[in-house]
Amino acid sequence: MAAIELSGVRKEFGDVTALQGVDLSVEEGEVFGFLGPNGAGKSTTIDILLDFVRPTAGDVRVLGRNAQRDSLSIRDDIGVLPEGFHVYDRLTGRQHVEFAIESKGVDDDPDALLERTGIEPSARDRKAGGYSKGMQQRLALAMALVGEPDLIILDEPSTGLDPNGAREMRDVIREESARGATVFFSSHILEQVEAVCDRVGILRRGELVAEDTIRGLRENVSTGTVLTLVVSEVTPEAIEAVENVDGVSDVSSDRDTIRVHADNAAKTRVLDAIERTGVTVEDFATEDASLDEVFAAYTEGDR
Amino acid sequence: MPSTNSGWWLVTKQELRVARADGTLLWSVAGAALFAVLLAGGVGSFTAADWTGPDTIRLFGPLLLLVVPVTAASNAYSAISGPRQSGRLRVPLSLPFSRTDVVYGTAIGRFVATASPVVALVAVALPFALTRPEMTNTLVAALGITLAGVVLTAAFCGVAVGWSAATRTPTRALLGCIAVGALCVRWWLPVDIVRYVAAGFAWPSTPRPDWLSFYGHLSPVDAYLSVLRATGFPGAGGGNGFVGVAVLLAWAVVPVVLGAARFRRADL
Repeated sequence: MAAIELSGVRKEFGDVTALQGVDLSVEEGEVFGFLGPNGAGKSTTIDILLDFVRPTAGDVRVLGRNAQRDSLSIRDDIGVLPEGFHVYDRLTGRQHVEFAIESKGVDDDPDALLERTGIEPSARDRKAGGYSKGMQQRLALAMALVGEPDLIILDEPSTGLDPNGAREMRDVIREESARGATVFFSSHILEQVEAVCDRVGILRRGELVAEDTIRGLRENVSTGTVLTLVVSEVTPEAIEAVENVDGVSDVSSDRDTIRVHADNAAKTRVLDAIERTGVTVEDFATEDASLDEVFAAYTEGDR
Repeated sequence: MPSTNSGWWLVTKQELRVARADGTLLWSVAGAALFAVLLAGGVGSFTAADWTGPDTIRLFGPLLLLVVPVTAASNAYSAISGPRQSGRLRVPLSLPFSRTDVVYGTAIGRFVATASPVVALVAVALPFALTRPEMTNTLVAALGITLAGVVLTAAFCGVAVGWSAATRTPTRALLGCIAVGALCVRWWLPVDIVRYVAAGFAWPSTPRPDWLSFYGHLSPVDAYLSVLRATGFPGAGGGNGFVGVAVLLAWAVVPVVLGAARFRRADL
């Protein structure tokens, strides 16, 4: 059974079409990253999953249930870190988690949850209004983990987190996935998505333009390989020879290194071309296209 | 596992937790108690021996009519629209609470927080009043004004929370509350405008028809005064105490139900 299933979901806000016929399926147990530039419709999609916003058309199912009609029972079984939330300023971090525990009728230990999300014991009984944005994100994550939910929906969970916080967030996502939970999260931090996601979906102008594994996306966009060659010396002949190789799109160099952007198939031809000019290749390394490049390929231009 | 507690009850408890944490509950009760000491105690010192206990309690009748609507509206007009605008509403709505739970729970929470100083006011004034003659009548008057004050609070909290749930911003909710307040002051104005228009934009020369008299009883002010009169407060006018309570309870419930219905359909 799909944990999340959207079929032909369309949402209009007056004259603005935020989503235009989105079809998306997230399987149980997956960690699914939801990407897209600002204004692409990611938060609208998540708001529809949570029944904060009603779709103009289409069908939305969460854990096999209708996201609008069965919203209350769905929220018993999911954990949510919403975007743009505001804490109860005068209540402590512990009181927030206790509220979530009460709402789900479970007997989780608030301290254990706060510990897991990195809120220090000294901060737990402080008013949450005085927390930094990062601490408020950690607090919301602790609330989302209450009751070991089957599905965790995180809308921009890394907002305001320092690198350590972002790493801890990734650890929590991995732990929850290992427990068997499905995790659906939107993020702008592509390294974070790459580090934890089984699959990603890319939304652009309200349309899902890609839904695949990161490897699959890389193969589809064919942004090629970056070849970094350490050579005995960088000569104009060697550079010219590389530029003339079929499949090479960009060449740059510094003291003893040549960087070549090329198709996968052109790699060996590049090495041969350099060595034919009398320059020795002392070392080389290849890197796949970065997720940044994949993201750009899907979200910019006419693709 | 679904919670065994009713959602609205947990939201009410959370509202009261917030009111306790930010001090509004404590300060409003303390302020009301202090005011009761000053007024009821002061009256005892400056009045003649024939000043009775009910006379002391009755001083609070007009006072509550002035203070309760303003206090209730200011405590509750942003109860839903404020957190909706700030994003705080996303916290309970990410948990297993329905939108109806949130509106009803918030309305009850705000009502309890606003009614507490009303009860404290009378409770603190009562011992001073009991030092004066007519002990039984004093108790009846105290019960009557407590009942009237509490249902009046419920009515205006209901109006304010109803507007708050039905509108997107606190400003619009406040304007709605002000409109209801203005209507209470000029209760017959809408009827008179209709009659003016129906008479071809001229003021009718005949008095209002008798069958319209029921409309007068629908006013929260009239209902409040009816409850007070039913418990021995002097004053002109008709109206039955039970009807007065029923009207005020309707003002408490109907706007909240309508606001919740609109809130359920809204995109947040």
